[in-house]
Amino acid sequence: MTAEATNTDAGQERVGLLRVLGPVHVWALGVGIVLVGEFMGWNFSVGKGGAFGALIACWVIGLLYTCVAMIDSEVTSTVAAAGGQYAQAKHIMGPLMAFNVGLYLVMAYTMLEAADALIVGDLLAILAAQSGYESLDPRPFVVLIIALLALLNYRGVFMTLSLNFIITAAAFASILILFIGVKPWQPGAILQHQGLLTELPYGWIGVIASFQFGIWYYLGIEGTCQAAEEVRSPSRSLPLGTMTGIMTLLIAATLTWYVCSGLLPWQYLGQATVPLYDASRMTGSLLLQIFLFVGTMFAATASANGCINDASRAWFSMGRDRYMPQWFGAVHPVYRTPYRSILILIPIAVSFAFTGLLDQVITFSILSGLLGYTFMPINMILFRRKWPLGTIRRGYVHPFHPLPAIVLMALCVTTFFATYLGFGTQLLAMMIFYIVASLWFVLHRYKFVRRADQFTMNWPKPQGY
Amino acid sequence: MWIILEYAAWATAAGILLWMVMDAARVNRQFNEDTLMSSKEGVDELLEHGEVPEAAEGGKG
Repeated sequence: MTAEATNTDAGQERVGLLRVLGPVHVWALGVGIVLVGEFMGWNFSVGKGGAFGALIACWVIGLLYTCVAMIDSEVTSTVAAAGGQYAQAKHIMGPLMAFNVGLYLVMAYTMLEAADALIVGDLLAILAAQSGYESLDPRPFVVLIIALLALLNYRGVFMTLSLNFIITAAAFASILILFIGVKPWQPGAILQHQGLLTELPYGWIGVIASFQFGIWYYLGIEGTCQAAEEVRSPSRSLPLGTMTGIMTLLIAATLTWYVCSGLLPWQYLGQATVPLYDASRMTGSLLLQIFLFVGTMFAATASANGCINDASRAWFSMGRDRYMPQWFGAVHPVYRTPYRSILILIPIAVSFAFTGLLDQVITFSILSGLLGYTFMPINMILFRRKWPLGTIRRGYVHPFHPLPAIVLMALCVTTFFATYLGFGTQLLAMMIFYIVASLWFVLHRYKFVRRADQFTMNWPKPQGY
Repeated sequence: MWIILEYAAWATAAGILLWMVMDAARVNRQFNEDTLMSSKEGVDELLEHGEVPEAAEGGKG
């Protein structure tokens, strides 16, 4: 595979991101970021709404993310640029929204990367404790995993996402193996749903409250859009990778709930750290325990790997448009990656990780993601209004418009309410942060932006302009 | 053994980070800044040889 720069008409060498990815890489990016949420985190929804409440959250939030995947597939197959939703917002809604969306993306992915690295460190600490060494310091392993994955990302996107495909597929396989291992065709033999499933412990308000943790099942599938400038055929690969990704996650989420709720009482499941691993321990099979331990490690690693990829593309894209210092818009001439953006995000991720506040880091990541989803329905409606079907070529046209946009908006509002019930202070702090950042952008940064250069799509004038 | 692994992890992480910083500094020195910054949003090098961009219809707005 050649990594040489392209010569432009003017004779100057042009160095761009390399178009080498296919649908499997897009799948690996989206599912890889998310799948760790099946191994941990989702189960806090059980603590809020009981086992049945968590199942409702699993499917309702699954519907939210299906809408996200459908909308993203249509828009990004047309706005095929690094930065994903940032680039979409820039072309469809305007610079201020784009700046905010870009910031949501960078914050969401960098914090999630830090949380994933913390998980790897904690798992190694558990392993050390089981082998008799109780005081393992997880920090060197947290830094090592971030450094290793950053190196992989630095050296090229193809290897990065090929590895992500392998470890994500292995992690998904571990869920399937556990599902088969608990013999679902023999209810009562291992799975004890009849005895463990109870009424809703906190009623319907508990079910609503559980929505904020239902997000863990799917958080990050929208990250497939960040690969838009590096796939060989955006109009085919992005919708295919994203839609197969959400299907995979809906299956994984449902299997995860089914296995865990049949092995662990809701009172324990609602506060467990690694529920799938705990479920494997309940089977008494050492082989299943090993599979699930490795699956958890792989899922956390794949997630951190995908997050580095996505955060750096969003940061790079903002740098290229001068929304951030232009210095970050550079591409490595040999590896064809946004190397400066990858490098600058390492100390930021490490500092988030060194706080050790896994729950707070994840909460801020989820809130940033949720803000990003709230922009999507508005973006979609404006996209169809400004460029109706037939005026530009789309790689994918999602059905039933505007129903997915309306459903997505309604579910986002409901989830904001659910988040406010549990994390009101963090939600308000996050809002203040983005308002201050917006003021900085409008009053200080936007004067550096070359306003005409940022709109690159070869589209006709929008209707009404 | 775990203590040795802790030190090995610190050392390996430091080595990797140092290599990336040095490589970035080398690239910054060897290549013109205009070249490093020359990537264009949405430009597909595979289409730069006369093919019509798939997503494009009509003129630029």
